[in-house]
Amino acid sequence: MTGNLKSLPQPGPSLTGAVMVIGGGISGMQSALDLANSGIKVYLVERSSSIGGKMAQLDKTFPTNDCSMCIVSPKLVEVGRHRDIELLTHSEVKGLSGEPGNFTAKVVRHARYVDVGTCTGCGLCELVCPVTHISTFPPQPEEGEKKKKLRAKVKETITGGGSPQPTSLYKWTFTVDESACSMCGGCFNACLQGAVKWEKKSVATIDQDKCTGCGACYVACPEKFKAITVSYAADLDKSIGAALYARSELLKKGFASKGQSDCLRCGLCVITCDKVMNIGALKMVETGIEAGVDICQVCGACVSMCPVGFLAIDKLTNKSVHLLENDFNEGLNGRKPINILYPQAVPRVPVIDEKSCVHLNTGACGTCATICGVGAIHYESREEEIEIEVGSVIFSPGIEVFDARIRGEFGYGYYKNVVTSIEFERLLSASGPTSGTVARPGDNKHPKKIAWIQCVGSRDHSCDRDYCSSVCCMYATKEAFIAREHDSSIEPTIFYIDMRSFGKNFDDYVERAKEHKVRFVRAMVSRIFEDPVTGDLELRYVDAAGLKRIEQFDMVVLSVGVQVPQAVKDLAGTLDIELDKYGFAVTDGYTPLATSRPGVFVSGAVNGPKDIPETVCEASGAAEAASAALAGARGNLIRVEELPQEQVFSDDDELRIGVFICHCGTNIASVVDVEAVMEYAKTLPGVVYAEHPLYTCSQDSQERMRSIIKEHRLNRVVTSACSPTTHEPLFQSTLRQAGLNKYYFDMANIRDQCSWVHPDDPVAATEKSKRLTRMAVANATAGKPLEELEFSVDSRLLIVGGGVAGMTAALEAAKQGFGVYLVEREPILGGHLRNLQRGPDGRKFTTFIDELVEEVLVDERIRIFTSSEVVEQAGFVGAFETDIVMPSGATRTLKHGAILIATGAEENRPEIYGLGSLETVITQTDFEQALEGGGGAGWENLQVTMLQCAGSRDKEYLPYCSRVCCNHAVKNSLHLKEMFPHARVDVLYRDMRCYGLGEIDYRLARQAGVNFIRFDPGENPPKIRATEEGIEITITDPSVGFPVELQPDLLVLSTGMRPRDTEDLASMLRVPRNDAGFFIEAHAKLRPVDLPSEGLFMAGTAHGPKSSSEAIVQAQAAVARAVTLLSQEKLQMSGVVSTVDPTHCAVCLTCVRACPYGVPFINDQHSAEINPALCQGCGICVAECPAKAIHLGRFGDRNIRAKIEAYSVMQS
Amino acid sequence: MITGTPKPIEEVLEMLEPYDNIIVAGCHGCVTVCRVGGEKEVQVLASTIRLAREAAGNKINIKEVSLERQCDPEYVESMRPYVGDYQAVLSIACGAGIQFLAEKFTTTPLLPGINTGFLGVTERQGEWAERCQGCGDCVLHLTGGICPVTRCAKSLFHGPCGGSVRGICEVDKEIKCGWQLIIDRLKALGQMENYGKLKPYKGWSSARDGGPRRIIREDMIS
Repeated sequence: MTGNLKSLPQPGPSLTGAVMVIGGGISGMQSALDLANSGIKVYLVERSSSIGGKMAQLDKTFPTNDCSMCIVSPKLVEVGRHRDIELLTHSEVKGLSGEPGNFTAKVVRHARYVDVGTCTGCGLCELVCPVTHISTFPPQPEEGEKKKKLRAKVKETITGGGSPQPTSLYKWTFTVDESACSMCGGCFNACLQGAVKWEKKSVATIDQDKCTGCGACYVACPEKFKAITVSYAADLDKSIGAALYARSELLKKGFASKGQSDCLRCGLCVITCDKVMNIGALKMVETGIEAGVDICQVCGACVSMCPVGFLAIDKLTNKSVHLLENDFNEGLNGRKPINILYPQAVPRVPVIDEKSCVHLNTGACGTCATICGVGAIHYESREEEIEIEVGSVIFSPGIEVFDARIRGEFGYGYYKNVVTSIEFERLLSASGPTSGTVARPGDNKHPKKIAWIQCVGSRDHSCDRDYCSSVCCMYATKEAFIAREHDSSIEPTIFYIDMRSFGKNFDDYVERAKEHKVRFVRAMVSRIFEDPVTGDLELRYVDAAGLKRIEQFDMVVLSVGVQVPQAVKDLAGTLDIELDKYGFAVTDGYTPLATSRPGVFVSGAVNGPKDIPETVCEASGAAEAASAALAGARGNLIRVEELPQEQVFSDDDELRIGVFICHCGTNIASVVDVEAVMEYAKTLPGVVYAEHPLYTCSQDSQERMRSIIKEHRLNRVVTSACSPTTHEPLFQSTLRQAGLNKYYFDMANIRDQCSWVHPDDPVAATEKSKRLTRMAVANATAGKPLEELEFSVDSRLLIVGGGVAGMTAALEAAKQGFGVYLVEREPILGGHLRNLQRGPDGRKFTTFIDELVEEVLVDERIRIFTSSEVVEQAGFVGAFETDIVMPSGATRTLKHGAILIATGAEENRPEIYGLGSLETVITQTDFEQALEGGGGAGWENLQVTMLQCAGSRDKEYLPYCSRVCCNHAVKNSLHLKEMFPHARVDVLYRDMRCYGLGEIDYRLARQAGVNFIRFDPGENPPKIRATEEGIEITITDPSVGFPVELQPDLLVLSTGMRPRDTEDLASMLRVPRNDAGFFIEAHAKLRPVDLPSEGLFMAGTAHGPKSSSEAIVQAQAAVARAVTLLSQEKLQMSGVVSTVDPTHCAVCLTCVRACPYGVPFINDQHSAEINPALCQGCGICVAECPAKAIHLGRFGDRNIRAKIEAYSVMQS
Repeated sequence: MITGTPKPIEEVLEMLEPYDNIIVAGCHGCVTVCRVGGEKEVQVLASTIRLAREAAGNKINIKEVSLERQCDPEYVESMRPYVGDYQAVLSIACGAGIQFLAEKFTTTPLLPGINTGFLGVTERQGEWAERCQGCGDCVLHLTGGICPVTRCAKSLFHGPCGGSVRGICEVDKEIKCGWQLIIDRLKALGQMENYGKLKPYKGWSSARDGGPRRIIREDMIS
């Protein structure tokens, strides 16, 4: 048995301790973090300019309704900051050679034109860039050829309702350079104000009193003379483009409230077109603007410069107009050619789009480079190819949504108010194109009736999407739910075939949605017609009673399925990994994360459609699979963080507090006057520095914070931003990196508690922000440095449960180089899988299990304890001590650093319909076993009825869906029909939940003649009479509308699975289980295999019903998560722990009883004592202690009092 | 331990009506453990009173103190230097403590902040039950460790009365019949013969019936 890492065999020189992760979505990020946190260097390659993937685009997530961005953003930041993750965004893998352990990957880094190292992510370039459309660039001169000025042949004059109203607000001064003037009179002819004086053969002069500063003269002066000069123009020192932007902004503000729509004759459009874009298509005329529609390049710059919205792009050109679509917002709004993918992007650095940037195509403009304060823009950047040495590869490029235009009957693409579900996510999102207002794209009206149509590009053979996309039922329910949260007058309706809410707690979520007035209609919509006048939509469908229905809706959301993008298929070709006909990776059910190419692993939706928690699971699992073979090289390529010595301050030291008031993009700043809050913060006692960053949490802001701490010798830091739960650790680590104790910090939440809840009252929200900031400053003032306990980690892993999950985990942990204790209650290993027969690929489970057992037995790093049970558990993460009772009755204490629970589940066998007493009533497992045995006499013409959800999704038995039964019934049906083609199978079901690729077998079963009859336990329950004499079933078949009588030979019940009895174990480990007895994960979305207590993990059916492949994935995932701990030599505990003052303790036992983690105990000194290593810092004991003898780190009376007093000072 | 429950705040406020400068005194003994009179309760009660009085436009000054025990003279004496500066003392110790303070500080009115309960045990966090009435003549060795004086509503000494139905006392369906418990326990212990050893009568003179009691331990008095 191996002990700590140091005693591991030393790495062979040949392995590369690095992994390349392809795809920076939630899958790639999770893989990268798990790998990097366990000593493996990561290269994260992402095609787009930022990591984040699809999850970053989502508004909320089911089933918790957590904000997607809020929960993914800490991950983005962690990846961005991680010193062992090298981010290669805007890059693509072009080749992979070599062998597992020693690959060489070729990566192309596309030219970004913005230097990631120097860019601060301020976003100014994006603001000044005037281009909004995809231009049709004029032909460029050949080399050596001189550029010719374009001359318009077709001209249109744009006029408004009234005549132009020349303004001289913020006017520039134009003067004639007498030495350059060639006396041509061009300026004289151009001036509409009569301000230019000129006579033949004399120099022109400008009468400044008459001049309105429109610049007509400036544009008219021939390029070869350049005789008109501009002065008194802000930002002209940068560039003419920057100056134009500056004046445009000023005019926009100046005219914002004036309702002006006539041309101002400010000349910005004309100057932009001529001087910035080198086109010169525009000219000011008496009645308005004359446009050379044939030479316009349709870049949109003139329109974006116009302060009053006088110009419309489609009037200015005779070419077709293409808005430069914002891909992140699914094209619902526009973007600039220089663009930061989304506000929280990592890296928050823009990329210049080569197709639409004017400078890159014609050499004109170039405004962004002139405005950039740090010189980060480099138009000369060229794509480069690099080679990277890695040991393994994780393929997690993700998916795209189905192109809904293929289902023409729904009118997507030409009916404006038909949107896809991902577009709807953006409409719901606070950072989306409508700032979270649910509005129809057609006319921005608030829709009342919204329909969701399910299975668009899923479960559809006609468009080659035979599979189920697995996520749409839930996301549609969520979108309907959230839409009503945004606007309670919305009436959502979801049209669906089967409600596939098969995941953990998903059915409860659907029920909650129903309570919140989300209407579910089981029907497929056949067509949509648009009312061309109102934009309303008419849906046609056949309802449950078989009647044709026509219903009007204001808006339709198409629940588009997922698919593998062509680029990903091409990439798979490059990597030489096999894909199935739909483009999903081909894997084996027993090694579900290994692709056909050894050393290349797969994770996420490209490995079959799946939701976020399953993706996260696979991502951790793939990290484990990818690093198992590289265990010998662990730690070879990582960098060790050198933290500066912590500065020590005494109470007498001058307070030097720095305050950062965050804009959170517009999240906070659109309501709260952050500048006012900052100015106010500067007046608070002890504050020596304050600023208001756009995103305090962004990487560059954090680096800036670090330098500010040093520069201003700060000894306390306060941020007024978002939630400490998500962002405090980030800020604290920045403090630590700057040499401050991380508890010299406090945070005010002015987003959730101010801007989000008081959007309609900016004045009060600002006032509240000031108060919260003041309280945080007071608390930081009261802050004391806390010590973080460090202790060494035992590298062994205890696994409870020796089924497929437990054994897989044991083997994988051993491969990772860690010792394993495997404790199994039963005398033999194998668990529930021993009762099942064959996996989806037809191979026998028992063979697989026997192989696993054999491998586990021979591995000397694994100690097996069968017929043994955990009886006592003590210790804490990194240093657990667990007592087990062995068959001899002897107790043995095992020491280990982490625990993995894989206690599994078993088949549910309720006593219903004669199960257990009648031979003709059996379960799916029994039936599968009988089939395996070749069936029975007379089975050639066997009549079988299968009853789904028998004692499942039923409050009296198992209230939850067991997820596997539908696929199990389909598998057994197919097997029976294969063996005995004349046998008959009727499957009575509520919803066939053959999610993912299971749908394909469901289709095969229907083709094979298996009858599927739907029932509803409330409205249409099957009447079943099973006796010794026979079985009689009556059910109304909704597809024909009248009752059917069945007299099967066998009634096969799909009874679902229930967890093993883990009550004692759960209370011993103090981990929560749900009502059904499944363990509850630390976070439903992002920590699916972590238990809430540190160092505890779970895998397999102990978490919830799942297939064997899914259990294997979880086992690998749980090992990956455990290895992030076990591979550490030392761990640091939080400084925020409770301490007891023994002189005050009344030994009343209140804390002992109140602590949910069972930490306090009464010591031999007659006082309560709390082990700081075990304490979770929840503070419950502090609140309960009647003698006030317990204090919690930074939450003492001293702190709370400081905050309250700071508040009351404000009041008085 | 001695248990108790907080007095309704309305009642406390009414008691305090005449005063605007008081002491709220807690005790680190039993009442701390049963969460009615410890340091935290002193702070909570004092804050509540202050808020209520401020809201009523009738401010009050409160000194918060917590004695180790209000039933020992040395601890009580620690209050003497300042007790005279206040108009009254609101004690949230048990009745014994409150009386002891009253006895020591003769010129200061003493007010009870809690209702003292009984001698009991913590059945679980937040739930206490009476176990002893201090009758002065213990028979628990004969009754399977279950006290007939306390557990029987009538303090009967020779078995259950006619009001015992299926193990439940007629006084309240939440109360188990003490005698049923005793008999069940004796049977389980195989000590039914103890049932016959009980005295033909109980002398109640050592209990409250003999008037206020006093214990004198000659061995401890120096």
